[in-house]
Amino acid sequence: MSAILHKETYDTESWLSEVVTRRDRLCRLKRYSLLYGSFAALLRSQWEVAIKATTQLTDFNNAYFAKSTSHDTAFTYLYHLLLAIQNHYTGHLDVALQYYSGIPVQAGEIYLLALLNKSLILRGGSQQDQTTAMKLIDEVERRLVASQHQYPQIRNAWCLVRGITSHEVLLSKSPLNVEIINFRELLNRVIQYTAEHLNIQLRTLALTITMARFFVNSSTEHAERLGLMAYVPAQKSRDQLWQLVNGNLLAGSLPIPLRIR
Amino acid sequence: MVLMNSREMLMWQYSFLLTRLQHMHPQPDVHEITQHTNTVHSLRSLAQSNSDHELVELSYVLEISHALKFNISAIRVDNLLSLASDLSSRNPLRQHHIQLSLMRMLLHVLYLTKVGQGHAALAKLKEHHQLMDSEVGSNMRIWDKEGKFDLLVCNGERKLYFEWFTQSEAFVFGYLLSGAVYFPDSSAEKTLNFFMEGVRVADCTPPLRTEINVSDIT
Repeated sequence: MSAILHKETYDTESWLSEVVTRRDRLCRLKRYSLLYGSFAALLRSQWEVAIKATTQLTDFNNAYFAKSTSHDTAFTYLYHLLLAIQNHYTGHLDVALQYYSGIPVQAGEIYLLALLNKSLILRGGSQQDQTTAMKLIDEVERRLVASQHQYPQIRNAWCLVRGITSHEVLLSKSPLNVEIINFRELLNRVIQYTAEHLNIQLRTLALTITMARFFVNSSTEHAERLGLMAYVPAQKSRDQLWQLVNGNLLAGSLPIPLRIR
Repeated sequence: MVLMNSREMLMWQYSFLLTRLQHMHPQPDVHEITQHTNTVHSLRSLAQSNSDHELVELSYVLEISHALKFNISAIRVDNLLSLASDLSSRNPLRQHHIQLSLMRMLLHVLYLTKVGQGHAALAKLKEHHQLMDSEVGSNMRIWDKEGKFDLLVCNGERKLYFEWFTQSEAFVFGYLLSGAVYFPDSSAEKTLNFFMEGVRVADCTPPLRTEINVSDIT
């Protein structure tokens, strides 16, 4: 978005410098609005709206930018991410992997997000895929450290994915196991930071995972508290997917039927 | 050779520096990024030595934009934002230049969003909405229809002319930014509405007036 702002043009009384035309700028603004609108609909599990917005974006992009010489790389990376996520959501994992892999390291935060999403797909695959998934997560960690933690939102997403990916927490119940504390701590951090960052969806995910992994079979009281904290925002945003996930978890874990208005 | 007086020379220096800042490779290397920062600093030094406050303020805005675009951690964005805000209210010739104030505010919201300060970004966004409603939206005369504006230099005796967002573009960008700020809050229904309102305003603005109906999407 700062790339759009960066296109101010200067001229003096004497002469005009080269400018990006007004039409192009409006088109770019409209294109980004459609792009972010598509992401927003996906984030809220509004599939039909997301697909319509993406279709309109693609048509508009082809109509106005097919012959454009000024290449907006930020848009291209984000567009690939959008198509990747859409295929990821709809279960076309091979296509999603292709789009994620097409995002180069120069894309910065978008690249890191693509790596995390790739790792989520690969962790469900063969042993080799799972090893690759862990390597991708490690790569994201290395890059986050190297960037001196400039990307707090990506750091949260990394904590979440790292917390999800760790199998150790399920295998061991020893309170002395440092790994357990670390992974749970990661999820706790996500819950804390996402509240500060107002990132409700990531918070919902972290709460749901924490509840499912640590409390569902051991502490009903904790499970209920976390489950409700995840369920209510999903209900408020009319996100049927996360209402269903959390509703099922709550229903399965509680001794008495839950009634939420 | 024509000899120029010092004021004309200064105008040319400003023009060259601003043109240099405008022309940047879309994917610059580290050297170019550093060069750009140095050019902004040169512009600021020159403007400061001539007490051209609005140009100094612009240099802060340009440096912030540059830092955000290329993730330059060495540039203290929060510090620059404070300096720009302070200067805007201390300018003896013209306080709170509307375009500069809006640029600063947009960058401030972007910065807060980027560093994950969601609550602060939301508060700043509300300031932005107030500015848009009270100044930009209500007073057509303060915004040139072509998006042109001027900055006073040489003690207000000369002007440098710039071109930026038109009023409609400022609103479209405002909607885009508003949607981006509310974006991570999946419980906020406003997000999608902001983006689609941005599309609607863009479609209603010449030369993009089209037949596409936003309600087709939502």
